[in-house]
This record gives sequence, C-alpha cells and structure tokens, in this order.
Amino acid sequence: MFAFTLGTLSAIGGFIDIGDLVADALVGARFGLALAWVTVVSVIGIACYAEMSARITVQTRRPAFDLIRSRLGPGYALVGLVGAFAVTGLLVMAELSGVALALQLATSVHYLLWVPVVAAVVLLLIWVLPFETMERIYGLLGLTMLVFVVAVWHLDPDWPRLWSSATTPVPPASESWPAYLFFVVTLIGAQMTPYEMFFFSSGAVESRWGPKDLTEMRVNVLVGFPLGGLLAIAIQAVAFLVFFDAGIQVEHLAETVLPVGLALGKLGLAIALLGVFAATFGATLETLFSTGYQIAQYFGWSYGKVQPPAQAARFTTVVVGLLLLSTALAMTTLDPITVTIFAVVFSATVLPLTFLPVLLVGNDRQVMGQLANGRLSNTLGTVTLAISTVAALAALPLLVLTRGGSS
Amino acid sequence: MRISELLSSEVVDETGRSGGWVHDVRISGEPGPGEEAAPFRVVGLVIGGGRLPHAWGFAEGRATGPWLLRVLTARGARQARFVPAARVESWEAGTIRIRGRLGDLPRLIDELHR
Amino acid sequence: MTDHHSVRFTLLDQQVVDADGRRIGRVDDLLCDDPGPGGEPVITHLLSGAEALGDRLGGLTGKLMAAVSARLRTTPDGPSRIPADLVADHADLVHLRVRLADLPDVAGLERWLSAHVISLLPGAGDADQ
Repeated sequence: MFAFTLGTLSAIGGFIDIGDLVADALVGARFGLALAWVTVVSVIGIACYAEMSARITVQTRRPAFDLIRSRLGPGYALVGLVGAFAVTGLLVMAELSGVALALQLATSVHYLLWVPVVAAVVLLLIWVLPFETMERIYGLLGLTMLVFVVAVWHLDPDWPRLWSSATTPVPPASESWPAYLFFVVTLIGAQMTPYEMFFFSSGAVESRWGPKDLTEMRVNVLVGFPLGGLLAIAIQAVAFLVFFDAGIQVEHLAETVLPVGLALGKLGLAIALLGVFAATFGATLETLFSTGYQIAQYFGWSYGKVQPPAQAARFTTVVVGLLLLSTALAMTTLDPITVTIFAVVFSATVLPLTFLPVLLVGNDRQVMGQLANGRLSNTLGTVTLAISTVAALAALPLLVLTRGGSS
Repeated sequence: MRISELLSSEVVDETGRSGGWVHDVRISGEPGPGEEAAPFRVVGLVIGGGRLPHAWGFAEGRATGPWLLRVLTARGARQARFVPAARVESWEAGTIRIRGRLGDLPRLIDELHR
Repeated sequence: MTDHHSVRFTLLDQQVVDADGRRIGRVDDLLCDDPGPGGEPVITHLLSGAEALGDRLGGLTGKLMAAVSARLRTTPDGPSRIPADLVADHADLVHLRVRLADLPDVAGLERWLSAHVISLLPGAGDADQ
C-alpha cells in the first residue's frame, strides 16, 4: 500500500519539470486557459503510452528504451537519439540556470558563480545516489508544487471566467492563430515527455515486476498523471489570474512563481520555490539519466545504477559529458526561458519516433502474448500518435513563423 | 558479405527485370550444443511492398494492429515475395541475380503458410 | 521449410549479453559467407560496435562513426566480430556462451574508458544493492 502511494505521488510530483513550468506560465499569462485542453489531451496520451510501455516491460523484462532501435531501425532511432541528447542538453542547461537564479535570489551572489557549484552537486548526487531514491525524492518534493493549486483557490477567482476561458479554445483578442498553434505544439512537447512514458519502466525492471503488479501500475497511471495535469493547469490558471489582464508576459524564471507569492505571501512563495527547485533540480538528475539510458540502450552498452560505474564506463562518460556540456552552455548566459521553449519544441518534433515503436511492440503477439494491446490502448495510442505526428510536422514551421512565439 | 549489404541490394531476374530492393532476410538455425543445433543460415530474401510492412512486422503477420497501421501496410504486405536461396545465381552485394522470372516467385504470405 | 524467421526480429539490432548476463553491445550487422549459386549463405559472425554500425548506416554520419571507431580499435582488421557459434540462445536477447573477458575484440571503448578514466575516480567500483 505504501509503495503504491509512493508511486502515485511520485508520478504527480514528477510530472512537472522546467519545460512544463515555463510553458504553462507563459501560456497562462498570454492565453489564459484557452490551451488547457492541450493538457487534457496530453495527459490522456502520455498515460496511455506510460501504461503500454510499463506493460511491455513487465512482459519482456527489458527496459522500454530497448525497443526503439529494434523497431525503428538504427537510422531513425539515431535521429530520435540525437534529438533526445540535444533536448536534454538544453533542458539541463535551463535547469542549472534556474536553480542558480533561485540561489541568486536567496543570496545575492551572481548566478553564474552558482552554476558550476550546482553542477558539481548534481555530479556528486548522480555518482552516489541510487536511481530509485532519486526518483522518489524528486517526485515527493515536486508535490510541493501543489501550492499552485492552493494559490488558485486563494486568489478567489471568478470561476465562470476561468471556465469560459478553458472552454473557448481560440486565441484571445490579443493573440494570433499562429501564436496559439505554436503554443499548442509547445505544450505538447512540454507535457508529453519520453521520460514520463518510461517512468515506471525502469522501476519495473529493477523491482522485477510481474503481471500482478500491473493493476498497481495502472492505478498509479490513472491517478498520478491526471493529478499531474491538474497541477499544470493550476500553473496556467495562476499565471492567468495575475498576469493576463495586466498584459504582463512571463519573461524571467522568477515570474513563474511570483503569482504564488502574490496569492499566499512569503510562505507560499518559499514553498513554490522549493517546488520549483525540486522540479528543476530533480528533473536534471532524471533527464540526465534517462538520456544516458537511451543512448546506452541504442548501442547496447551496460548502464549505470545496475553496474558499478567502472563497468558501465561508456554510459557514465556520456552522462557526465552531457552534464559538462550543459554547464558550459549555462555559462554563456543564454536566456533559460528561450532555451526551454526551443528545447520543448524540438522534443515535440521527435516525439512520434518515441511513440511508434512502443505502439508496434504493444501489438506484437509473439512478444506480448496475453498482454498485447486491447482496443482502448490501440485507439488512444493511434490517436495520440496521429496528433503528435501533426504537431511534429508543424513545430519547426510554426517556430519560424512566429519567431519563437513572440508574435 | 554482410547482411546489411544484402538488405541494400537489388534483386534482378534472368530477363534483367528488377524486383526492387531486398526488404528482409529470412534465416534459419538453432543455436546451442544439442542435437537439433544447426548453424544460422540465410534461407531466402524478401522483396516487394516497400520497407515498412516488413520493418514493422505486418508482412510476416506478427503485428496485427493497430488497425490504422495495418490498413496502411496491408497492400504492401500482400505484394511481398519470397526469394528462396536456391534460386540465387550470384550473391553479389548491390545486385543479386536470380534464375527464372520474378513472376514465378511465391508470395511471402503463401510461403509462410505452407 | 516454413520455420524461417526474419533476421530483423531475431538477430539484427538485438541486444547481446554474455554468459554472465552482462550487456556487451548490439548485433549491428552479420557476416555471412558466399555459398555460390543456389546455396544458403551461412552466418559466420555477429558484428558489433560503432564501426560496424557506422558502415551499415552509411552516409556522412555513418562514415564518421566508423572512422572514429576504427581509430580506437585495438585489432587490425575490421569491426569487432563474434563467432556465430558462440550464440547459446536467442529467444529474447542474444545470449552468448562465453564471458566478455573471453572476447578481447569486443567493447574496446568500454575497456579503454574504464581503465583510463572512470576507474581513477573514487567510488567507481561500487554498485547499488
């Protein structure tokens, strides 16, 4: 029972990373809740694929990234891999900057001096901490993001107005259709992340799940992800309530949590900062490992946290190398918000390459036996794949057309 | 020669007509020390229908869904033909020549259900 | 003879593990002999490693990958190869009958990094429970 609650809570808290935080705050400030439907669709899609990939892992006893190369072939799988590497490099860069900026706010020491310190701490933690511990801590600390939900309540909003905004899926008067569509793609890229999909997968292998754990996993997915989505909508709502009428756009990371401070005062702000810290710092550890796993499984290397670092030398080198690269990028003072937006849009362009192999294996009766996909899985899976394919094709043109969402 | 070279070769029959690229290689063999052990060997090639029905498993029937992908690959899966190793004249990477004509080649689905 | 299988789903691109269950790479390509007209080519070796993969991918990326890998190679001729008769089982993963230590040509980059970089750091030998 305890393990189950832990799993669900981790899923909720782990839903939000810096991509979500930035995208939701940006979207709320400019569009209100007119894009909340994207979150709903994304939650359904990612829940479907998280369940599918966990089920595959239970049946095959192999981690889900294992499938990608055998189903797509090494060429397309490499494209997805390079995409994942680039996206993670950018996101970790933004996350390092985010934590450093938070520390700057607290200590008045310039954030560029904090970046290497934070990177060093991350390096130490990934060397020392077991993977599951990291995942749990990250997930649980992320629950502090629930303060955003509390903040919505506290702001005593005009509920009919919130509802009307959410049920009017068109750009508000101040925005154009291209910008609206660009942010549809942005939210898809931010909220359907491969990491979430394989969230249960690594645990399933290491804990040696069997078919009876399937029910527990499904409950985790059905409860955890929607609540995570609710958190995302709360971030949009809070930004809407505080920034929209004043026409303020979110341009700095600090502005993503400011609304909570306005609603709940210093304590609320502190909790929100803790939540943001957990989301960004935790996500750094998670995404570094996740990408490391993906690369290791593409080439068939042994990977860390199962083997000691000396026996998984290539995996360790890649993870550490990626961290160093991100640190170097963070030292260039590139704006973390812009970098995050680019990262999630690129993530959206390679998303179909992550869904397709899972959908194919899920339907392979020789591999899956009794656990092969049923109608519901296949229907939701196909629709999600179709949506993500359209988003992937539209992503780069919209990026160029709207100049990164600024027009 | 390498399997990857086979997979990027073109099959040409005795009249010079091209059957397109090799999309799959069929192998047989039992590893291990037991009595039924046999070395891995190439038993035939598969051409026709485009790459996807084969890469995704629809051509050999191991994938039956999802519905949309099955429908999209159905025609290609039906067009696939099997080239038995016995018919190959020359195993030259790039171009594989076979005896007889393309039209005599069995369809993959027929071959699999023999 | 209808019990033949697609190489894609049985050997090619599959994960290779040694006798201890340790992952050592993927089947990036396969080497077979030329049996002459009408014969069945026998698969003699599994090819594993970035050099074999680079050769297979082709194009600029592939050539680059193969060239870098060839530089790091310790053996003189061609990408890492594993004799096909060392395969014990291939039901889900490709299991070998021998240990990585018995395959000196394979996973060269891994050994090099392990010896020259990672092992020098403290805590490198400890795994999780």
